[in-house]
Amino acid sequence: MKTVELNGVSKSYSEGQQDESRRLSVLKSVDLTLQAGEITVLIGRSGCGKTTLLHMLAGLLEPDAGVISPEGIAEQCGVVFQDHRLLPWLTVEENLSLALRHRRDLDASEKRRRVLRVLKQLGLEAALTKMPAALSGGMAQRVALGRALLLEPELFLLDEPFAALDALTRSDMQHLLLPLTQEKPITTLFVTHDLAEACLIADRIIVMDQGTIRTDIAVSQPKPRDLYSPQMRELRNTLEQALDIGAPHLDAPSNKYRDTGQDHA
Amino acid sequence: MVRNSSRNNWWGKFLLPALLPLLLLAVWGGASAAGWTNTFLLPSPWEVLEAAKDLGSKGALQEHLAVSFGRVLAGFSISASCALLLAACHHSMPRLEQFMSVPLEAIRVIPPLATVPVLILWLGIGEASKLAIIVLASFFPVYLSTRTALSLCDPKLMQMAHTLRLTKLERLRLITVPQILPGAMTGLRLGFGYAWRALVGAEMIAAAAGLGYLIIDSEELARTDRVFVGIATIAITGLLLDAIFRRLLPQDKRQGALKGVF
Repeated sequence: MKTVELNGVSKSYSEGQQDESRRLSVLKSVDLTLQAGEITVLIGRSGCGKTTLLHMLAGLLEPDAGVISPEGIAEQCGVVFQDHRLLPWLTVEENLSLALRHRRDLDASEKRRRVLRVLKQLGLEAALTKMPAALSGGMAQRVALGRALLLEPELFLLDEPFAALDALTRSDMQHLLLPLTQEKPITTLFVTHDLAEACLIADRIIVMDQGTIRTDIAVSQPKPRDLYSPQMRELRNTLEQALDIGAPHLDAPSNKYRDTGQDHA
Repeated sequence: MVRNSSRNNWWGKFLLPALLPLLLLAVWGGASAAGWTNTFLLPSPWEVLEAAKDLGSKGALQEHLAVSFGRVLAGFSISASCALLLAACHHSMPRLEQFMSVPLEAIRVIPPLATVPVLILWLGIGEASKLAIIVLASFFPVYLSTRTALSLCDPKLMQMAHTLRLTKLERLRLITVPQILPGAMTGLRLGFGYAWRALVGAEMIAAAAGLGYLIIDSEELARTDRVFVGIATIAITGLLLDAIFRRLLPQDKRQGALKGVF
């Protein structure tokens, strides 16, 4: 298990291809520590820099400034993206084996044993010889999860992995993820914009806004958690405040929801 | 149900496509037998068949076919390998593509036949100028299809490959090649068809053998029946080669507008 640190990490993109002076700052000198074996959930609105931060940890983007340590952690990470990114021309087994190709130290039978073990852990034994097109969204995403786990990552990166799934499947996936991460803790960064998901799985919740870290909350309740317990309700309230969302106060209706009257005249 | 669907399959696959050619043949034969046609402008089917038998028994038809086939194969091998290579280079070097874009576009819109005089001056009247025409005719379908297929590759799969620590060679073999295969295959099939079509133009240049030569020579000798033999041989061989091509190459499973184009 490794603790991963970001120190003063910044990233900006140029808005137009020609005009280098107009740059959009996505991350503004972010300091963040991912504690060894903990699940850190990164939550925030679209465009706040969550995915950029995750891509940098995965080595898919270089920071403009700042340091990510330990060095070379990108070479030891496993990533699950929002879409499963399975190769449609390979079977489930072949797709999973891709994650073990770089392991020259394992022989073919050991590789196959590991693939089968992961399939069993994820309840996917029946999908072994199927093509990705024949899988449901939830099954495909479980295969993607398995593929990342086969890498035996020191750093587990999940970029809104369940966002494209329906509510029931998403709930199943969250319950599947918990025992996996408790059996063998991995330093994990989980990006989401789903508050309930964050409350269920996080050891720590980081709220991001416009490229900076706004709130950092440790969550110590044991898992599995009851979303409707008082502590969880309180946590959710705190998060809603940090993100400026929630039900408008009944006694003070917000002006932005009041129409001008002219449209309906 | 099963029997019904297999009968439908048989009907759709063989009988229905064969109907129109047979009908045309019948009309042609009927009109010839009734004496409605000028036998010099349109010889009857049996005259054409007779001419084919005559040429076949002397071995001339087979020789013409073999010579033409060899030319198409040689020309197409050159153009396909150049086109695949250039498409790959342009994909990885956008600057090179921009640099070469204007001349390439210009060459693409010139009909290969328009370059015949220049090709004869430069390359002489030997095999080189004939191959050059076939190459010019078949290069662009392969190049353009492969180039488009490469530009349509999903960058997200490359990100995934990066996180799986696949080597450059593995990424090429496992991800890029399977992705461009359908597009490149369509290009190869189209290109092969274009090469075959350019044959007559190529064999107009001082050829002594080949199906194109057979057609032009027969025209000069006023043997319209042999002209038809030449045309029919090109058509039938082309259809057969396309059928073989489709079976040999990995199947393109997409439903697309380019299917069956030759």
